[in-house]
Amino acid sequence: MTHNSDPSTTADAVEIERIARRARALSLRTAFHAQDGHLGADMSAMDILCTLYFGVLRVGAQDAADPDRDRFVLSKAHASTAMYSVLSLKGFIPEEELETFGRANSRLSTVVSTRVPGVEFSTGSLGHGLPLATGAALAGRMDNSARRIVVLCGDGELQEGSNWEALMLAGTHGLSNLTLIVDRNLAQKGASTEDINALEPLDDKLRSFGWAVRHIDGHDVPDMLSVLRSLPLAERRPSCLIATTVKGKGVSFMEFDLSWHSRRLTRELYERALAELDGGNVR
Amino acid sequence: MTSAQLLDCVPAFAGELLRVADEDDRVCIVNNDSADTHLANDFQRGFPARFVDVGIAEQNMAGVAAGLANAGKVPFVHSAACFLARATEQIKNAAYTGANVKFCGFVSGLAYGALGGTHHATEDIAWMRSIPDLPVLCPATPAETAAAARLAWRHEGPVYLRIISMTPVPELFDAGHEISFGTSTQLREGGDVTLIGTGLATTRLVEAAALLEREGVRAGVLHLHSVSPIDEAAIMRAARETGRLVVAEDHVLNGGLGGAVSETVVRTVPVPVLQLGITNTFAPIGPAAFLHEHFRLTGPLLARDVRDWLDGHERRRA
Repeated sequence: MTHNSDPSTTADAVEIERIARRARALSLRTAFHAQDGHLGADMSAMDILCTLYFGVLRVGAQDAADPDRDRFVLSKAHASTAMYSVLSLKGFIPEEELETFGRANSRLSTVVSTRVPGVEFSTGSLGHGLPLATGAALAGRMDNSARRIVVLCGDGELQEGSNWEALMLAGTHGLSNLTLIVDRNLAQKGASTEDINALEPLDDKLRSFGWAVRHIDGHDVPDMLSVLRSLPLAERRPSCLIATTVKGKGVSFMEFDLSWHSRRLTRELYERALAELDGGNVR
Repeated sequence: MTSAQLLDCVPAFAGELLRVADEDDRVCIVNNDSADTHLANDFQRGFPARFVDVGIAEQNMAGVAAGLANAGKVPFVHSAACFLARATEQIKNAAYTGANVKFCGFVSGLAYGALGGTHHATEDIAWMRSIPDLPVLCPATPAETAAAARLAWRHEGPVYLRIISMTPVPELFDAGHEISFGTSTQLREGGDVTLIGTGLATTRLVEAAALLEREGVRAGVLHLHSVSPIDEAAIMRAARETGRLVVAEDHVLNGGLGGAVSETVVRTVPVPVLQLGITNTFAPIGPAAFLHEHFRLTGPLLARDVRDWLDGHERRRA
């Protein structure tokens, strides 16, 4: 089986960290101009997204319709400015288009949808992504394809029961072509996941459903690269990476501040955030 | 071709799906531990690699099907119609993305009988027809159910197929019967009133029209196999030519076919519309045949209600 060889999927960790800083800046600019978005979720997931798109996944704008492309499902679709920033850096959408985010007749809805080139599934209603990814993984098995399916879920959305239906099925079928990454920032909109509807012990739960599980640091790009490039974690089992993350990561005043779930940036805070990201060069 | 013999629609559907699957290796089934109920066992034996059983998990079932469609498969989701309801949001999302998934709701209407209100699928038309870009097909007979399966397969995009199970019906069509979206079949011409139905109700209206003829009432019968999109031209023609419409359905009156027909005529050719079906109440306990009597969805009872209604109007002259 041959795959498209997008050179940008072979970036090293240093390069990916540079791309992630730029993608963070693009996200901030998009959210600032639109006065919309979910920056806490964007910053939380950004290092994972950039590691996947620039170091791991075989997806590229040139081969968007290749049946053997890898599939990525952003189930935590509120991290849309992060996704759109990455897709623009991958060449799926022009960078100028980010300015239309959420505006009249834009393609860029504030949770991701398939109207945007490079987005495989419309999500955002939480708990939909893992079943979609499970179906895509079953299809890969039917086709005897080497394509991999990666789904990124927020931890809060694991409270939706549809995920557990899919976790059981993927475990039953031993879908080793499927990887779930949990963006484990411990925070949902209003409070800690553990205070609202506790997920722990999450790893034990997943293992008991037939998954191979590993904890990672969702901001440690070199480690994520090596783990993601050596999947599956176990033969004949789906893989789950529980990624410890910080909501708002990379912008000092957002980190650990739940209000940045969907708070709006003032110009002053926007400038401050950009300065922290080496200037970002996106103004 | 009208035959007095009563036939089951599900074998016709299952047979057609086998033929389609022979021709097209993208076709697969996703079901919720219900292969037996919906006669999918032959498919399971014939195409085991293309048969997915998700267990009793309908939200996952709809998502898995959309995931399969993403990879170029053509999944037919098999479930009792009543349980598809819990995946309504996932079905909406499939329509939003144009996912090539065929949602097949079996045991529709009151067919589950004494299992009661949890199992009656008497709101599904309202749910499904409210979703944009989701064609809704309610075939009336075995031949038309096979035609609907074929149409759904040929269509690139999502479809809801409402299938009659456990309730034998007369065949009204030839074996080669074909249907398309947004069209209808005028089964009988008549000048006094047009009886409009879909699915099971159509077969009952055909019987009612014959009974009405004996009493001097010339009732046309219009069958709307496609509830969404709906054949507005045919409805307008019926309204203009007969002045009165009766809609019958094995579905609650709010939001069903009667609502769809009324929405059309009130904008175009406003005429009185009588809506017959399940009044907005849960059914009592009993077998399906008893429930059809209870809600007056049999040929003779429909004929009587139509006649009583017309008697309240001035009878149109020929």
